[in-house]
Amino acid sequence: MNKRSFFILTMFLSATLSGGCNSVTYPKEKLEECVVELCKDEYNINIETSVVGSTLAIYIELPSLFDINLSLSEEAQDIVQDVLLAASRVCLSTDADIKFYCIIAQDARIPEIQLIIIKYTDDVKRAFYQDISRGEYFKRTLIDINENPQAKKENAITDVFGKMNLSKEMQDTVLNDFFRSPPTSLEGIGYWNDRFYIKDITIEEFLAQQIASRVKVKFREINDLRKYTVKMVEGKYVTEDKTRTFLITFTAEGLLFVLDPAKKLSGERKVFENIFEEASDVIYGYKFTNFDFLKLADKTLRKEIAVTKDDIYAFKRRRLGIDSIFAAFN
Amino acid sequence: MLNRRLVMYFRMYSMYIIVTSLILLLVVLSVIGMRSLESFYRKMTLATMPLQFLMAGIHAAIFVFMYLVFLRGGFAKLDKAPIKGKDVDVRWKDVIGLDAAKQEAWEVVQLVRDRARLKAIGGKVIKGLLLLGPPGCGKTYLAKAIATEARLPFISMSGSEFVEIFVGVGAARVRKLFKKARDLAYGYGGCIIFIDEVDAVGRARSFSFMGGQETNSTQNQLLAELDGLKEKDYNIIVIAATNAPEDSLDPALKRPGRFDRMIYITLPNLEEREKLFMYYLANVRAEEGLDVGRLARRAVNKSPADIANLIKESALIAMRRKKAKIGLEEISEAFERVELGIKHPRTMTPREKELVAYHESGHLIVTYLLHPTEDVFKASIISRKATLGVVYTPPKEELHTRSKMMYLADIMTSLGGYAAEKTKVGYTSNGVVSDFKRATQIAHIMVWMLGMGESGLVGDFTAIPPDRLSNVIRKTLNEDTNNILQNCLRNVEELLKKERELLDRFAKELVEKEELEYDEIEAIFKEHGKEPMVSKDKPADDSTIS
Repeated sequence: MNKRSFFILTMFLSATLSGGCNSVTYPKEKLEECVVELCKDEYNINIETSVVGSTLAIYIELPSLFDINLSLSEEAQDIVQDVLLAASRVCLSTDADIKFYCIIAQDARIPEIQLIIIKYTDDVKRAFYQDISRGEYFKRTLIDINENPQAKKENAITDVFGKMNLSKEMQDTVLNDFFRSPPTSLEGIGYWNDRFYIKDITIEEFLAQQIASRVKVKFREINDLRKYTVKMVEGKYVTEDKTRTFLITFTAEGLLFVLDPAKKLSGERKVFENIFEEASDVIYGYKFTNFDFLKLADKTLRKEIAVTKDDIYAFKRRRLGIDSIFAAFN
Repeated sequence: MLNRRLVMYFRMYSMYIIVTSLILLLVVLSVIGMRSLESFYRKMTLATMPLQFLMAGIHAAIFVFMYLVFLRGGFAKLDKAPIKGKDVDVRWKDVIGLDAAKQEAWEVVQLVRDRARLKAIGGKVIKGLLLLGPPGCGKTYLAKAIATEARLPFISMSGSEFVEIFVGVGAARVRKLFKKARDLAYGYGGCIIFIDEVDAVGRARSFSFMGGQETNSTQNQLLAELDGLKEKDYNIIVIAATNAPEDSLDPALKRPGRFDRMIYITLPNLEEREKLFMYYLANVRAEEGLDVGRLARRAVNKSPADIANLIKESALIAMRRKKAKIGLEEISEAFERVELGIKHPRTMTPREKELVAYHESGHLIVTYLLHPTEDVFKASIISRKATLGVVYTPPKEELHTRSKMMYLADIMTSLGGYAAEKTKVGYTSNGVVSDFKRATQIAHIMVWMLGMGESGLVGDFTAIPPDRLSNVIRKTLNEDTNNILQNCLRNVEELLKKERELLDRFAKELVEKEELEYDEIEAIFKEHGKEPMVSKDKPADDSTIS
């Protein structure tokens, strides 16, 4: 290649590179507007959005979110997928610091029931780069169908206000002043009466919630574990006296009726071990280190175990066996 | 002319132009495509670009490797960039000597330059020029000078570059070479192809089924292309050079219409050697007043390349001696170094050393007293190359014929070492192997080929298959050969017995000093009242030997 050809090729490559390095597609100043327009223009879906801190919330009202079996209708699934895709495109191609995005979908017929989907933007990126598998990517998504907490609260209060014959204006004033505040946990997220109830999601509470969600799925889907009937699982990240702990509380109702103490003990250990393995997978998967302990607490049997961060990492790096971690379990 | 140049460039580089245009188009489309991507995807594409380049490079390398190895298409590739005549920059005046060859070559240059005039009078342009001659005589240099003076593009290739293990590759290369030459001739009005060592593809074809098809097909293609030039009347001249004997080349290559003109380039004569010494000494820092005539006389049978090498060696010796200029001493040492080789002293027992000294003294005395054309410049018992000792006898002048007396003198000189050993100790060593070989070969040639035997048989008996020669003739010839050797040995032994004192003296001097220079040798002979057979002032005359 002579000098002239080299120069021309370099110029064109520079043009390509400069073409690729220009401004972002969805600037932070117009972020919400961009999401709305994108959904409207490309998917013909009307949505509402709100940004709190580094969390983007998107609300969709669907005429039939649930079918007659109270499961998600196919049409709703397609729409939710489109909105998720739009949200991921915006979050990935913006200069705004959006770490989480949350889709709130409600059925127009029963707005008290809502579908909440929370995704972590880094997970989306890693899935694009194929740094994590598709299965892992789906496990990292928080999906919940719950009764709208704000609706529940407001309906109860409105009943009381009705008995007190308070005027509509007065009811609204009282509700606004005392009962319409942003949620403090992920469970409080929702949309009610044209108002978002969202919070700035942190990675800590996201991970805690993810552990709980994955444990539930695990005990539901693996045949050997179903007998333990682990249904109620809660994940929290608590800080007490400067000690940061992932607290996973659960109930294993299947063990209540086991009379043989040895079998009971071995069953308990199996439940704890499985929950510990799932939790350590999550923590290690994110290389999360901003905590001191992982505490697993069985509310039914009133047993708990705490594992240090170092032990979790040692376990994942195969420097510590699970028997060593549960050596004191009895 | 501009249009013709543009067409020529398009013809020559059509593939490059198409590929470059495609690349540019792809780059433009890439820019447009990148701009239409969302920023994340754009970044992701850019981030993976180095990896993609790397992977593309690896894939391309694998593909090229596979292509070359398995499909062999790449072997036929001719990666020869043409050189413009002015860039060769070897002027006519830079070609020293070779006057006759230059004159013939100059005519060719004129014909190439003034092609239109020649065509006007109906003349045919010479298409091929074959330079024949020993190595180092300036064939390539002459070809370069022709290119410079003709001011035409010059493509140089070695004959061996056409030779491949795969049949057809050589022929493909010949086709590509001539295609390129035709393109250049179209654009520049002419082109010179120079094929060095043409014997690699031009030797007589074999028509057996046992192989040789590749060389045959390459040569066939070369012949076809040479004929093709004539038919389409491109102004291309093919200059080929070889140091192989003319007979070894295929007759088809030498017929008129292909290599029409053959120029024989011989070793330079005295006058040319003088010019060569002047030319090469002018390029280095040499002492003023150096007698180039003397140097030229000493450099008998030296090619221009040898003379260039002598001056290069002299410069190295002068540098080692920390001298600012090259002097006669350095050139003399360079002569010895080039002709005799570098000294490799070996440890010998006193007995061995004495025997070697007598051996070399035998050569020395016989050469000095009996050889009509050789002079003794130096005698040494320091090991050089594979020999334990040497007597340096450069020819005094170039002779193109050799008489019977000279052959006999050569044999006697060769036998001098053997006779001296025998005279001194009564037995001989294995140091005579090469001497005997040379003496026997000369005697054999004299009798079998030159009719110089005592029996009077004449003719070249080597031209007749041995089984068709009668036993009587063979016996007679062998007896003649042996008689020559015996007579020569007898003469040498008589001489050395007669000059025993001189033999002992030279052997003693050699054992003590290991080397005797020309002046010392002369002084010892004079001291003993001996005159050399060869005259120092007059041309050699061998009539005194009987």
